[in-house]
Amino acid sequence: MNELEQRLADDLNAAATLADVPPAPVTELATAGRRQVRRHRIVTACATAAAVLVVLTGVGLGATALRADHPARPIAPGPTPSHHVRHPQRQNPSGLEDLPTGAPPAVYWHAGVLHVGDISIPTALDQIVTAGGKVLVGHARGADPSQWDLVDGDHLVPVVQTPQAIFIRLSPDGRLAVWEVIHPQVTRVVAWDVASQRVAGYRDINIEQPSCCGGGPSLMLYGADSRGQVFYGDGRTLTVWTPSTGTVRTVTGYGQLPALPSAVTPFGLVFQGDGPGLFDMPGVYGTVDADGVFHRQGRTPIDSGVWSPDGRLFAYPADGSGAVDNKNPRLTVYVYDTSTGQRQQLLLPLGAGVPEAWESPDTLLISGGQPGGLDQVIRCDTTTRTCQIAIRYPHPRGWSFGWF
Amino acid sequence: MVADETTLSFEQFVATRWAALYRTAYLLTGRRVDAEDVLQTTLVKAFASWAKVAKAQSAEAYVRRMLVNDFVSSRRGSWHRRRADVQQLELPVPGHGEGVVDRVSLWEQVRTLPPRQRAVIVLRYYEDLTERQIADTLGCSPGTVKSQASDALRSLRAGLGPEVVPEGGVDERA
Repeated sequence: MNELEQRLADDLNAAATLADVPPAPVTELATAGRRQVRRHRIVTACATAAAVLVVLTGVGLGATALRADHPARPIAPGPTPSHHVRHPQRQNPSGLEDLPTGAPPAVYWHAGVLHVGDISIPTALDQIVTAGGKVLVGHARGADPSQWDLVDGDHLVPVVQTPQAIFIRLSPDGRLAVWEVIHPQVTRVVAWDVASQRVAGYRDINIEQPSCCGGGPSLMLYGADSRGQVFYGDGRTLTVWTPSTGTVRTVTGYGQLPALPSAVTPFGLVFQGDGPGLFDMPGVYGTVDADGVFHRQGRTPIDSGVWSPDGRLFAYPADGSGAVDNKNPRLTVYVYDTSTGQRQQLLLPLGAGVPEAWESPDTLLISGGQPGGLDQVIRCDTTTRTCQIAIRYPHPRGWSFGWF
Repeated sequence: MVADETTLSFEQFVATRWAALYRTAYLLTGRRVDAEDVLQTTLVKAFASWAKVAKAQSAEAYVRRMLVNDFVSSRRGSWHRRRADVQQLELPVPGHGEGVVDRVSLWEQVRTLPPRQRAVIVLRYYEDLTERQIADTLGCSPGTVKSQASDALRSLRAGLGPEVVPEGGVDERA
């Protein structure tokens, strides 16, 4: 090391030593990290909804809104059905014109109005929750009082009214609605049984929600699975509560994975696994038993996607090779079969496709169109990989997501 | 280095390594407020992928790599603007150099370097990393590190003006 280099080392060390190191904001960083994780997941999850919003005049809601003649299948992933036919010889259509046209979804949102059969309900897209053939509609903006109703036939059934804005999650089978109400010293998690239209139970969790950017743990309600299990946590401890039995257990068995599930699946939870990127990492999914023990069942190519109601298929946006890489645009849709480990590309035209929701255990609704303006709702039969246009809008909106 | 980093929680990691990482961030940015900004941004990202960070051979090295790259990325394309602001950089901490050396502090000169050169200098002469380790950290070739270091040293030598520092070969620790 010459004289200049030695002086450099000395001066840098002196400057570093004399640097006035502020206290480590451990709690604030963890809180901000949790928010970022949650925001990333919300962005990913809302990509579809927003992508449809992109469509300016309206959007097929992609509601999991489901036809009554498709009852939920057993929740655990099962063997490959015999009708699962592959068509490797089939090529992607060259354009949307090549896709046949089918019936619109039973439930869709268009120009600020939710259409459920013959009913029309003015509401914002982000105030609609659908699963298992059930539709919940909210009426709240910002911090205003919140009211949620269940769409029941041709009328609305009040679910909850609160003086603060809340957001409701529905279990994938549509049987259980859950939400949290925040009080200064306690957060109440409420479970509402959709069939009986009654509160199934509630839990008061003695945790203070930071109002904004301060420290302290915050409660995160992840949702309910189709087994009637409700998951919530504070980032350090993950809890499963079963309202039907009243049992409350700490979730264990997920090893080194962070206590932050990416999503609730029809049969349990999915956590973020290890992968090559900073984001968009694989998912590790599994069930949670009555004792709260997480049992791994497998991995998905990405932790955020759309699970079929029976928990067998997992749809996700990918690049042309089926990979999920931040550096490559994800313009097509793949379906990962958890029972066989195979993934298949749906036969969409070249352009962009974002999986929205499952219409039935085999039918996926996708927002499609050209990058920068999704203007179609496309229905795909995952058994044949074929797709048809369910809704076509004339004027796509001119903005898009960064990765399109 | 903490003996068993793989078992560290995020909170433990931040509590024990914050000061060291902050000092590196401070040397990279030259300003306390910028140091806090870039370090907090990096640590929030680290939290989001903590499962992966905790499994790294060295969580600290992994986070330091994130930090340096966040710093370089955040300064990309804005160096000329920031260079114009160099007069606004914080003055040396009172007492720094007092009665110890009667010469220009190279730290002041380092703060005027372009971000990538500054990162190479800090990693090399403060973190004491080898050329190859710096290349791994910055995601470039050892040759690029070598040229960046040479350019930086040339600038520093020129910036010293009349205070002559003998020309010498660059230490080729590898």
